[in-house]
Order: sequence, then C-alpha cells, then structure tokens
Amino acid sequence: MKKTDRRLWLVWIALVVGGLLLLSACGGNADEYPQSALDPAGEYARKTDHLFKITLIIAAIVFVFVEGMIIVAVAKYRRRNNDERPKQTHGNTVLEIGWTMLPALVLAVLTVPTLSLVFELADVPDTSDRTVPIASLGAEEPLEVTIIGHQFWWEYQYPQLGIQTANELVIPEGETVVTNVTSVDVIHSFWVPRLAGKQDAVPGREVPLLIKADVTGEPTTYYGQCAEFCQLSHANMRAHVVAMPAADFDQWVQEQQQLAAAPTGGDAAAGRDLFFGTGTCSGCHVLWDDDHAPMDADGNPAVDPADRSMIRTMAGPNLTHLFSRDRFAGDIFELNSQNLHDWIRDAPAQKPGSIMPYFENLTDGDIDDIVAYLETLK
Amino acid sequence: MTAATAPTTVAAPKTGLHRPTAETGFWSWITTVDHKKLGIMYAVTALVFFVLGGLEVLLVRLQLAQADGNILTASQYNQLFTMHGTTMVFLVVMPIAAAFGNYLVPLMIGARDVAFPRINALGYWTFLFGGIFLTSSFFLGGAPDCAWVCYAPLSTGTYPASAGVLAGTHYLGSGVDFWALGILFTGIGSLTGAINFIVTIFNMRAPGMDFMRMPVFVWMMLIISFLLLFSIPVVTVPLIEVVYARHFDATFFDASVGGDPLIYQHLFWIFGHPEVYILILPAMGIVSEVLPTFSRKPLFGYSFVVFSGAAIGFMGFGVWAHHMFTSGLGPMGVAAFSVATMFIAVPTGVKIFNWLGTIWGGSLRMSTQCSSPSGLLRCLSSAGCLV
Repeated sequence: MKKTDRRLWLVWIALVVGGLLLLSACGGNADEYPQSALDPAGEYARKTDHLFKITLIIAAIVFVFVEGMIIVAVAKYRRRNNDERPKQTHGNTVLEIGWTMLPALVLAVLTVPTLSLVFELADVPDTSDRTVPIASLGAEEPLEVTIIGHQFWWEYQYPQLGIQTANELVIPEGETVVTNVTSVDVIHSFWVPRLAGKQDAVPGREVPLLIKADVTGEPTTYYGQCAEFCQLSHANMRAHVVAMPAADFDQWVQEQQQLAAAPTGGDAAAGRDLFFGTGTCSGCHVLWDDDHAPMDADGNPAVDPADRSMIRTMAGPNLTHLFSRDRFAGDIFELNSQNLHDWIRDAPAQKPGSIMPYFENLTDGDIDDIVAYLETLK
Repeated sequence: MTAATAPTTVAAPKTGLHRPTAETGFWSWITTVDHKKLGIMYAVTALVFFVLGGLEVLLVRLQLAQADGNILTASQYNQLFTMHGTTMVFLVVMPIAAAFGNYLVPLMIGARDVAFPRINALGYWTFLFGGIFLTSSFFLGGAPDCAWVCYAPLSTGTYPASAGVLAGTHYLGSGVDFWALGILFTGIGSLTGAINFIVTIFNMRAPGMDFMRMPVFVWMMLIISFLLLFSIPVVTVPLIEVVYARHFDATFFDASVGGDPLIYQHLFWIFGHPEVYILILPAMGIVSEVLPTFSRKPLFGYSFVVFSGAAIGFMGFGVWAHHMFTSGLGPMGVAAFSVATMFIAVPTGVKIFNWLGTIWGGSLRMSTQCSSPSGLLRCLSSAGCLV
C-alpha cells in the first residue's frame, strides 16, 4: 500500500467514526434526555417541532447543494500549473438575478407555515370538546395558571381554584392550559421543552403561554429549566410538570384546597409555634391553616376556595401542602427531612444566591421541630 | 502680505508640547497618528484581548468538563462567561475590523492617510482605555456578572427582592458599572473611527475612482461605518440608563413604578443586531478581495456583492426583535420580525453564490490565505442553514 493511500484510508476511518459519534448523539429517549424539544409530548410542542423539521429538511437540501458546489469548485478549479490564465468573466446578470430570486421564493414558501403557527400558538382554543369532564372546572373553561418567576424558583397560582404552589406544576392531561407567565424580580424564562416553547417571565407583564400534555392515562412528569440568565443559581432553577388524568387532577385539587391542620402536641406543635413566631418563617412563606386562612375580596376568610381572590406572592413558596411535592428549593433537592434540615440550617450554603438566609437565632433542635411540623403538611 | 511671511518662518508657539518627531521606537508608537501604525496597534491589542478572552472561556469550559465541577464558584463562573462575551465582541472582533480598515482603506483608495489622523489616534487610545478599564474590574471588586447583554432589571439591581433584609445575598458588585462605562468608552472609539472612515472614503478617493470602482472591502468598511454611526448612539442610551438606575435610583426599567424591562432589550438589540453585521461585513469584504486574487479571476458580479452588502446594512436595522421572540412581543411582532429575519438571508446567500461564481472557472491556489475564506464560505452556508 502506498503512503498516500494509507493516509486516505485514515481520513475515511476518521470521517466514518466521527459521523457515527455525531449520529449517536441523536438517539435516545425521554428517560435519557428528559428535556429534549425534539421529543415533543403535547400538541403545541409537536406543532413547533413539525415546523422545525420542515425548515430543517429544506435547509438540509440547500446545505448539501451549496456545500457540494463549494467542494466541486475548489476541487475542479484548483491551480494545476502556475501559467494558467482562466477566462476572465465579470458576472452574469441573469444568473445573479436567479440566485437572488430563488432563495427569496424558498423563504416566501417557508413563511406560510411559520406565520400560521405563530398566530395559532397565540389562539386560546375553546374547550367545548372536552371529553373527560373535570369536576373542578366549568365545562367551557380552560384551566388558567399564573406562573411567577422568583430568584430561584417558580410559583404557580390557580386563580379559578384558589391554589398556590411551587416548583411542581400539576395539570390535567390532554387539556389546553392557559398559563400567564410573569416575574417578581428579574427576567426568567419558563421552559418545559417537551410541552411548549420558552416564555420569558418579565416583571410587570403577564404573557400567555399555552401548554398541553398528551394523554397517557397515568401521572406523567415533564422536566424544565429556567432559560433566561437570572444570576447565581440560574442553573439550579428547575421545574417539573405533572400531567394527570382528570380524576387524579380533581383529587389533587381537593387536597390542595384544604387548609393545613394544626398539630396538637409534640415536636410538630413546637415547630408550628416557631414557624409563625420567633422562627419568622411566616415572614416569607404563606401557610394556610385555620388561624391563617386565605381571605376573599372583602377581607373575610374565604369559605369557597374559588373566592380566595387575594393570594399573596411572598418571597418564599406557599408551604400549606409542602409534602405533597417531590422536590423543593427550585426543584433541585429531594424532599426529605434530612435535606430539609440542611436547607433550613444554611440555605445559601446549599444553593448559591439563595434569598433564604442563615438563621443565627435557630438552634439545631429548633430546626428539628420545624422539620417535624413541615412533615405534617401533606 | 508677501512671500516673506510664509508659515514656515513662523516660530513654534512657546507654550504647549513639542510636536512629536520620533519615527522609530517606543515613542513613535505612543505618539503616532499614522494610519498604518494605528492599524497595527489595533491588531496587536485585539490579539492580546483575544488571548484573554480565550483564557476566560477556557476556565468556563474546564468548569463544565465534569458534572458538579468545582473549579469555579457560581459567581466566578458568571463573571468569566460575561467577560468572555464582552471581550470577544467589543475588544477582539470590532478592533480587528478597525485594524484592517485603518491599514488598508487609505492605501486602497489612494489617500495619504485618513481624513482626521489625530481623531483616529484618539479613537484607538479611547478603545484601549475602555478595554483596560473593563478588564481591570477583575481586580477592583469583581468583573461584571450579568451576561454580555446585561439585561435589566438584573443589571440595575432595583427589583423588589433585593431590597431590605434580603440585600447582600445576591448583590451585583460594581462589575456592571465597569461593563456599562467600559463599553461607552470603546463606543467612543468606534464612533470616531466610523466618522473618520466615512469622511475619508467620501472625500479622499484617488481621481477616477468612483463609488462603483471602489474595492469591495472599502465598500464594506463604508457600510459598517454607517451601521456604527447609527447604532452606537442607540446602545449608549440603555448603558447610561443602567448607570443612572444603579446610582441615582432612576426607574426606567422598574416595572413596579411604571418602567419597562423590555425597553432595555429593544434599545440593546437595535444596536446589537446591526452589530452582528458590523462584525461580519469586513470579513465578507476581505473574502471578496482574496478569492478573486487567488482564483486569478475578477469578482463575479461586483455590483451584486456591493448592493447585497448595502441591503444587509439596511435590513440589519429591521430585525432586532428576533432576539426577543420569547420575551412576549405578541404574535404580530413575532410574525413581522420572523419575515424580516428570513429575508435578510437573501443578500447573504447572494454573496455566497457570487463567491462561488468567482471560484468557478478560475485557477484557485489553496494557500493558507485562501483556505480561510473558503472555510468561511463553508461555515457561513452551514450556519445560515441552521438558522
């Protein structure tokens, strides 16, 4: 074998191996890549993905053609000897007008599906064709959720249902959910790639974003990540959406609408005293129980959860049903008593930039009591 | 007045500094107003910042090379990726264009120097000062940590959560001030350079060189000079507003009192998108000069290449909001800017085809100088498809 042949073989092997490596990155499934926009799991995400694939195919054809022409030109018209004098041309107007108009035409065609999707994604559909009734909602009423970005976690308010929760967004499957995205501090971006595109959370604005998850017949989790740089723990600002069958959703709503029960004795009762007293937890966290009931518009304790018109946005999450959630602190820590203890002891050490401070006045025993109380909040 | 009182006989004024006369050595570089020397100084300075920007991103990449990496703290990481972006855009790619422009434009149009040599020198020194000022923030309380776009209200720090008992936990240091002022300084350098190029190219071309006989590189420098002239003042506004918000409690971007954070994004990107073309058009000009030379064939369709460059310049001011598609413009805004963004691809495509036409039927010598333009051709076409 000649030396040049061997080199050529090496180039081929490198190309094939490299190409296979690249292709292997395209494989995988939802378990391995839970945040892939290329694996949509809802109507709106699927529409966006469809447009992306149309564009990709057209772009790939253009790419192969142009790239091929470049390679051919560079190979065919390389200088073979130094005395060559190629024919001198200054251009060809017909040809040039052609290659101006042709891309413009291709783009004009591509504009049609793009624009129709842009307007489609902004249209709130009616829900009269709802197949499975949702007891918590009126027949023609889409579920509305206000999504509020905080440094560094997401708050969710369900104004029709009087529910306030955090990090874990619970929705009925197969239903269009109209979310309104906003923020209380800096700009964040709510992004659950398998369900919908990004929507920035801009202070002072409530921007609608439609979300819909496929019907799977069981509670299914979709993961998300804050997508606008928001300072120290931007990377630790995660979220997940749980899409449930209508019956499960109704049950979840009923549980979330309950007020917390005050423990009657033991560590948990001491913890409750600390929570609302010297622990100052209630300075930043909402917790609804009989003594701290949510109010209606007139300032009286709301009897019907739907009358809880004055849900307050505080610096920290609503903890009324803390242990109904899987994770906490921006969806990054598993919710268990050890993690909760470490967090309350020194939150900034657990998560850079955490607004929850180190509490000098709390002993480890105090924190154990608070954790015991929080564990009762199912 | 007679010939006896010619200016040469007038004695130099006794006050003030002597006109510097060194032609070689250290002082010749410090005091020079020569366009070629300033061009070299721009290039060397840009290369120094290039190394710095590379080191910054090297640390970022090292941190990312393993899960839960602990090479950098969260704050250091934010500072380094912010400084990497800022350095590469404002202190590397922009001055490289100024370097080529300064060195080549007067030579290519047959002028002895640029129209305002002293302002040219002022521009360089302002840019250098701005760059040093920006970089010095590492040693003076921490570099900016607001990402290279430095969106408000993150950069202004005047959002409710930072108030009262919570202040101090995630306070942005003085880095943002260094960022805003540093970019202002380099902006002064860019503006003076832009005016200089426009005046030079309009007034100092050799006899007989009309606009449609100008080298394409000179055309592209003229176009980016106009882009700079119209876009730098726009970015100056939010930069100053950020400084005012941080130090004088101005509330331009504070939604709780009627300000709007999106105003910052609009103003930034009305500059920021033309900036993309400010960075690429000089390179396109260079490709349009190198390919004909190495193919031994004139540029294919000179006027198409020139006018597509001008079209990019004009359209570049009409696509800024495609950087804000997720910020909640509403479907009408998104639709309008989608269409504008798609069609700005047309003039870019025209250039690629014209370069291809230049090589086609030529005698291409693939030297080092020529492989980078053909590489750019390939990069651009693949990037264009991805977009």
